Amino acid sequence: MDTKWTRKKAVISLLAFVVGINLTVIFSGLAVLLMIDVGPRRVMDAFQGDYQKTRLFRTQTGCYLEALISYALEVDGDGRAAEAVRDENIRYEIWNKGVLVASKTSGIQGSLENREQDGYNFYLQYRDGAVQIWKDGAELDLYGDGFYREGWDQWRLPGYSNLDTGSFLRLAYPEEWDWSGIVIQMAVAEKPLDYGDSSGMYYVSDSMVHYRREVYAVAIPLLLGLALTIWSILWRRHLRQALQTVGGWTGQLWLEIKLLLLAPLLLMCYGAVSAIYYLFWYRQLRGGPLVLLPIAFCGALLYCNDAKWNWDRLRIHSFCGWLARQFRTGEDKLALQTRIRRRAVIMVTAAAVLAAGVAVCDILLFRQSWRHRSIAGVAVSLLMGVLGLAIFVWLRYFWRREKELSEDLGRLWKQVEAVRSGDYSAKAEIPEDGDLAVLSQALREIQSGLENALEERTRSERMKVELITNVSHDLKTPLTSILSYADLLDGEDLPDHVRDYVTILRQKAFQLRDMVQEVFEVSKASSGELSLRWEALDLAKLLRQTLADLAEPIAASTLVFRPQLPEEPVMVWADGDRLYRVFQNLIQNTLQYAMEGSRVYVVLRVQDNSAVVRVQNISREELPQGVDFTARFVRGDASRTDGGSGLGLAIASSFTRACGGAFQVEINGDLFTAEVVFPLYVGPEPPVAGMSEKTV
Amino acid sequence: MNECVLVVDDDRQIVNAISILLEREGYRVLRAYNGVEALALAAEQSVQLIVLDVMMPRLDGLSALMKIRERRNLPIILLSAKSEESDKILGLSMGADDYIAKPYHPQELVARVRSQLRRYTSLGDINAQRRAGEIVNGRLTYRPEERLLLADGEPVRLTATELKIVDLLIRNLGRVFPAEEIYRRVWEDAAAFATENTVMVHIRHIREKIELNPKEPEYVKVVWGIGYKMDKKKSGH
Repeated sequence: MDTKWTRKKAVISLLAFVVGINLTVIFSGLAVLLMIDVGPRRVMDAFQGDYQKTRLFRTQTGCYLEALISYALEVDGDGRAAEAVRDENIRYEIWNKGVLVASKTSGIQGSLENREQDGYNFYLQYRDGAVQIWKDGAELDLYGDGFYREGWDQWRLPGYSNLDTGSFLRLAYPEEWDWSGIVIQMAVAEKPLDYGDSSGMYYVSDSMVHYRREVYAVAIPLLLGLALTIWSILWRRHLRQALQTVGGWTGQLWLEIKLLLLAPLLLMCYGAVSAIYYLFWYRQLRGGPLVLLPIAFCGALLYCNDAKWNWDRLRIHSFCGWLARQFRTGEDKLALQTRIRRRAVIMVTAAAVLAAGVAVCDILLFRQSWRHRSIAGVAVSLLMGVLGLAIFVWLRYFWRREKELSEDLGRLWKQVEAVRSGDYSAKAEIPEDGDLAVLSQALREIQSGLENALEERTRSERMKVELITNVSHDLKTPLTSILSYADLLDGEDLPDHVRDYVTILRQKAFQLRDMVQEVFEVSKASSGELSLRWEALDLAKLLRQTLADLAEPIAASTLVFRPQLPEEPVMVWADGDRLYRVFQNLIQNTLQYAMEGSRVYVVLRVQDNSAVVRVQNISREELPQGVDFTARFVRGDASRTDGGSGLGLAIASSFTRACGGAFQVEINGDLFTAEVVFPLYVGPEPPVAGMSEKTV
Repeated sequence: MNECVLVVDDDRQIVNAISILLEREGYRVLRAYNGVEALALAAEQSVQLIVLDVMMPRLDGLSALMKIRERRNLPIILLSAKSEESDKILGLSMGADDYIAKPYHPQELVARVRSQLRRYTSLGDINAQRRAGEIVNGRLTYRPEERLLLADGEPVRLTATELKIVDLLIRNLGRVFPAEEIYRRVWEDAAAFATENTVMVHIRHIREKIELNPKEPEYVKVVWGIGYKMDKKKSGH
């Protein structure tokens, strides 16, 4: 409801803005025109209630008097002046030296000396070179200070100190004329009537109505436009929103469409400007319909608005951009050489199309030149043709080189891929003169270096294992004696404290034996010499078996084990015995180092095609940060007085890696988490299920 | 009457320790310190069993083993500091009857010597008395109708459930049984909660009763991540 109203407001403000600005601009222009053409005085006069108070009336009266005096002086021999005063709204009498020269007095009671005639309220009397005027029975003050100034709002009548009858009539030699005996009486109708006369007093009063109408026709739309503009400014928040919405719509258009539409818009703008020009200069609507002005304005507004909101996306949101994006999608999945070739195809195609266009032009030029026997034209076109051919040849050459380069790159890429996957003898078949031959050769050298380094490493690794094997073997022989004699000693009849010593001796000797064995295993595993028996096995079952196998030490401890193992099989591909050792070591690790009475979580989850086992416990001792617990002989506490060999996690880690899994230890405060991750085995069903059916 | 054991090792202290250990058990012990001496003694004396070290000067254990095997078929236990599976398999394939890794556990050594001697001396009797339906697997002999399991000719005291498990495993030597199947067939019940634990406990008990070293079982084995099985052993000399 509320949002609906907001939307309406936005629409209204936008309409008000557009209509208001258009009306204001157009009609203020027209108002200026009106003021220039008609003049402010006449515009103001148009709003006078009485037409006799207008300037036009005063001018007209002066003209009539001029004509009547001229008639009396017989200056106007053919009576044209009197003709001019045919206006039926005027009554007059012309006397010269007491003789009535001419008169128009129909409907007048007696003489015009009587200044209370029916329907006439304006009387003028010319006598002795000066004028008197009575309007509505009262005499008007005509002369003011008695000095006539051109352009002032004065009656132009004879009788001023600087305007006698001679200058009033614009006579060339006033002294030849005698106007001293002339008396003119004139009356003007209160409400002029239309006698089919295009000029005269009716025209004066009618033009007032006309101008009034014109002013209304300009002022009302102008005021409306101003009001609308102000309204839209008051609602600028909504206007902004509306403009933004419009910007959103126009933003969906491709840049190319906008540019295409720009041409007609510019045409319309030109039309509008020329219309204004003709209107102001020639007062004609010849330049073009004024309707173009609002259309051009709206177009300009749309473009400005679009630029404001979509400037950043302008280049991106175009047909060309779309094409380029279409081209680029999925490009990263293509082989390197295909990508390069695709780009080359586009470039060569563009060049070829361009060249073909030029060729067509060239042929036309040649034909024209031939027909008109223009040697220069023929020469230029031939030259251009040769040049074009050269470009075509070059394009072909470029294309071939580019193709070869892309193929060589593809081979080189394959070589790099091979090296990455461990094949150090891979070789790219790149011709000797190819651009990439040197690069391939360099890669070959790196390969051989790598190969040597790898061999070196394998050899030293093997030597290390041999060394450890020998050392452990050499350690075992004296250990055997120690154990044997300690055992024999144990069988003797000994005092209790000596028996205790023997027990300690035996325990430590056994511990030493285990350590020697473990060191041997870890070093074998980490050098990849461990023999493995691969099979598909159920990790959940293996964990259950391990926990069951260690049930006695677990029960003897104060720890609470919380296994979370799925019922359904979680198959992995590994060596079961080694994997058992991994989890045996992890659980023994917790038995040894977890805080008394705390819970140990053994969780198996399937995540993204991997089986993830987490063994989580709270450490009894504070765990040092930043220690690699999977390194050999590393324990939580540095004192090494407990029974552990310090190799448990190293065994777990190296055996996990040997079986193709990932091993990771995470310390978070006192929370110790060991994580073992194996990829899920996706192969045939384990053979166990099939066998159980066979024997039943 | 006492059986005579020949102990061969280049380390005199070890020979001495083993001798004392075996003499305590009532065996007569002959000592040799290299392969040549061992061959001579084995030829001269009436020896019932040889404990033979593999790595020795002059004539190493494996060569001595082959030479002795040419003439006599008596139990030979190899003793070696090489503890790897491949060494063990090599020794056994060359004719040794058992293999003990150094440093050995004294009690285990004694148990193995006793086991081998028992089988060697009473072999004829066992073979003569072999009854119909009897299943022999290495040290183990199973008589189903008597519900009796013999280890080295001596009856093993098994509970009814343990015997059922042994019955299942020994009749299907080498076959791997998931815990659920063992549970279903032995308890004759659908697999229930903590099946793995229940089965594992019994397996452990059986091991303690029949294996010479329950920590490194030779017969009843866990196949990690799959199930349980009994390995097939060669049953005589």
